[in-house]
Amino acid sequence: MVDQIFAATRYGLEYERLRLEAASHNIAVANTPNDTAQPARLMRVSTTFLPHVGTSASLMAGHFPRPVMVDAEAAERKVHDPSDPAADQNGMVSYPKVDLVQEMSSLLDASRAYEANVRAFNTLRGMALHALDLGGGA
Amino acid sequence: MSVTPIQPISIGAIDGAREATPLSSLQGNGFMNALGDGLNGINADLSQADALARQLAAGDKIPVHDVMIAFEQAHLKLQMAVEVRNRVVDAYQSLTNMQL
Repeated sequence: MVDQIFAATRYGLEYERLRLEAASHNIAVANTPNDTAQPARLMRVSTTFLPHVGTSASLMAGHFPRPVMVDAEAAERKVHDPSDPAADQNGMVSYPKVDLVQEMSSLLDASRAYEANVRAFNTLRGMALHALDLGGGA
Repeated sequence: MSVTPIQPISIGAIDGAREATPLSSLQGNGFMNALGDGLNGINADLSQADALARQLAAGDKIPVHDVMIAFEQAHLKLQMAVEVRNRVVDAYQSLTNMQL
């Protein structure tokens, strides 16, 4: 019983950590000019699986598949700057288009959700320890 | 005058103290098996936590929360085993100290 809740908490922690990682990556590449041969990719955490979707036996047994980070094509943001060595013949430099507001909010959101998962875990742990105190006070 | 002879009194065999039926060996094995399985589970959890801690220390890419969760799981199971041991020892002592 406890193991399954541990697995659920672990899934939540893993998911939030990956979300934070993806947002950090996107923020990190936001202001780096694109290499024409290898344009920057934006990271997203795969949400094809969510623990509350479906109640198959393996989920109930606590076997959650691990969340994965997937990369996606980034839209281009062109800036006119002929002095930049990365500029093309028209003097345009291409950057990956990153929505900084969205990335910052997902950063904050992931951090808070991680905290919430830790709180849930600690609550469960406290309950389990209290259960062991049953009848032991004498 | 006639004296009526005393009739012999017949007493059925006095019941001996009934022996307690001994616990069948099967029951004992069941308890010992349960205890052994529990201890094996704790051992597996402890060694898993140990392996994760070693991997983290060696610089492998392991999230810290995985290690902490493994620690906590091992801790809870160990605590459970300690409580079981306390109860068993308590029961044993109350039996050995019983005044007959």
